[in-house]
Amino acid sequence: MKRWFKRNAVALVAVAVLTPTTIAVTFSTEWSSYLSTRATQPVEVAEGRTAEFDGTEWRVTRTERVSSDSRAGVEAGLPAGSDLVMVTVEVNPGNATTEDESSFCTVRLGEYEGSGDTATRSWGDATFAAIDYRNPAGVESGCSPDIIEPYVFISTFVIADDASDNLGVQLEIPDRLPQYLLLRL
Amino acid sequence: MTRVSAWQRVGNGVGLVGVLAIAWFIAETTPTEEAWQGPIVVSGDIGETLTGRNIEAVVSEVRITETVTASNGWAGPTTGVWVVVDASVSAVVDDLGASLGTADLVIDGVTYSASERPDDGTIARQPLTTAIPVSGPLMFEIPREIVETEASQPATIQLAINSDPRADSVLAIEVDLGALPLLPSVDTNEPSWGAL
Amino acid sequence: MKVPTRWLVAVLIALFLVASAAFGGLEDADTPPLPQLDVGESFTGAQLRIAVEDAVLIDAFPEAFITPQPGNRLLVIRATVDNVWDKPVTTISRIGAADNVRPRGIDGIEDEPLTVSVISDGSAYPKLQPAVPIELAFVWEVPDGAVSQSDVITVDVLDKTYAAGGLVTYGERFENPFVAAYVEVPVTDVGAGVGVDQESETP
Repeated sequence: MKRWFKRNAVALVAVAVLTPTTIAVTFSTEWSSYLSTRATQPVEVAEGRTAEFDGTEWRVTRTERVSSDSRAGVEAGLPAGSDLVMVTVEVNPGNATTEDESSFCTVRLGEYEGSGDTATRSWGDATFAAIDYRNPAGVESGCSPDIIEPYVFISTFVIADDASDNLGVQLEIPDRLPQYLLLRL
Repeated sequence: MTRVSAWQRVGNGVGLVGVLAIAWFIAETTPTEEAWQGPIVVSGDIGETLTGRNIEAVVSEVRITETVTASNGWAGPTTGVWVVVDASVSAVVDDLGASLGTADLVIDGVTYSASERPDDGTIARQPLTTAIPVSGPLMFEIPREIVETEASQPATIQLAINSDPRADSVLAIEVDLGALPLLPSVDTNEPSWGAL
Repeated sequence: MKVPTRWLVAVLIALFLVASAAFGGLEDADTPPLPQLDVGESFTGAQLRIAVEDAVLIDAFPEAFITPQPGNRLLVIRATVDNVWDKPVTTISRIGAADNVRPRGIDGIEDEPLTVSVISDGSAYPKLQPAVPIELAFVWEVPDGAVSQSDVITVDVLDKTYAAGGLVTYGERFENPFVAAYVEVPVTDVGAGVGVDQESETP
C-alpha cells in the first residue's frame, strides 16, 4: 500500500491541489459576474455626513417620521399601522459627467440591525403610493439627471410602524453597481 | 500471471453487486428537477397567519356563491359558481416588485386561478408592501358539480409572490368546500391597504 | 454455404416491399378530411373545447374600449370555450386561446385577433378555468366591405399539441397550433347596435 502511494505521490499531490482550485475558479467566474450586477458593496455614510459617490456629493439634511395615527398622518391618508418617512437629501453634482447630466439613482429604505450593513427589511419609494402626501411644489422626489446645479430632493417611504430607528437609505446608481451608497439616518 | 483463486472471483462478484446496488440507490433517491426546483410550502388553516420567506397572509373567510358583486360594481356572470376568499397579504422582507402573483385554488389535482375580471375589486395581482397588508377578496370560478353534493371536498388555497412558484415560498390554506353552504349572492369588500 | 450479410439485407428489403404492395405499396397515404362542424357544434381538442356560435359585424365594441380606424369595422366571432385541461388557460396570443380560432380567407385578417373578451362583462383576455365554459368574443378589425351581411365565412378551429419539460424550458404548455376543424358561419351585420349581452362594468 505504502509503495503505491510513493510511486504515485506526484499525481496525488497534483489532484489534491488542482481539484479545489478548479472548483474555486469555476464558481468564482460564475458568481462574480452575478454579484457584480447586484448591490452588494455598500459605501457607508454616517448620519449627517457628506459622501462623494459617482462624482456627486450627497448629504442627508433632514429626516422626518410621521405616524399614521397623528393628525398629519391622517391628512396624508396613510394606511393603518404605517409611518411616513421623509428624507431630505442635498445633491451636489460634480462636473465629472460628460453629457451634462447628473446621476440617476433609485432609492429604497432599509431597516438595519446594529451596525450591520444588510437590511433586515426594506421598502420602496412612495412617490406613486396610494397616499395623499405630495412634496412641496418645486421639490424633486428623487434624483433628477437633468439638473446639473446643486439641488435638493425629498424621498418618501411608507414603512411599517414597528420599524426601529436604525434606518438607512440605499441609493443605487446603475453604473456603479455592485457599489451603492448607504446613507445612515 | 498468477491464477485468480476462487475466493477472489467471489469477492469480485460481491464487489460488483455492491457497486450496482449503490448506483441504483443513488439513481432512485436523486431529487428530480421538480423536487429541487419545487416551492417551499407553508401550510395552515383559515384564520391562521402563515409566513413564508417574503409573503405573509391570513385567510379570514371562504364563501361559495352563485353570483358575486365587487365593490367597484362589477358583477360576475359565470356558468359555474364563485368561491370568494377574503385574505390579508403582505410582503415580509422586501417589496421590490412584489405582488400577489399566484392566487390559486387546487381541488383534486385541478388548479383554478383567481379571476382578474373584477379589476381593482380583487386583490389578485395587486402590489404588496413589506409588513403593511393589503386586504380584500379573491374570486375563483369553479364548476358547479364540485359543490353540488354534500360530500366533503377538501381544497387548498395557494398564495405566492411570484407567478412562477419555483424555489420560493407558497402559503397553502386547507379548506373543505363541501362544508360551506351555497349562497345566492355575495357583495365583497373593497380592497384596502393597512393593518387590520 | 456462407451468405454475405448485404445480400441477406437486400433480400429482406425486397420481400418487405413486395408485401407492402398488398397494403397500397408506395402510394401517398390519404390524409383524413378536415371535419366540418355545424354552427354551435363543439370540437374537443387537447386543451380546449370550442363551439363557434356566430359571426357579427359591428362598428365598435365600447365595453372593451375598442374602436377601429375610420373605414374599418369589427368582425366578432362568438364562441363558447371550455377548458378541458386541469390548469387555467390564458387567452393571449402565441400561448393561449387567441390562437385557436381564425376566420379563413378574409381580407385584413392575417393573424392574432385584436382582443379576446368575455361577452358578459367585456373583460379582456380572461383566464379560462377548467370545466367552466365561457362565452368569448374574438375580435378582428376588417376593412369596410371585406365582409357583409349574409356572407358565409369559414372559421377555422385550431388545436395544439402538449409539451412538457425540455432542456431550457420548464413546465407544461400547449404549442404548435394546427387547423383541426372548420365551421361555415353566416355573418350578421348589426351596424352600430350592440347584439351582445352586457353586465355593467364600472370603468
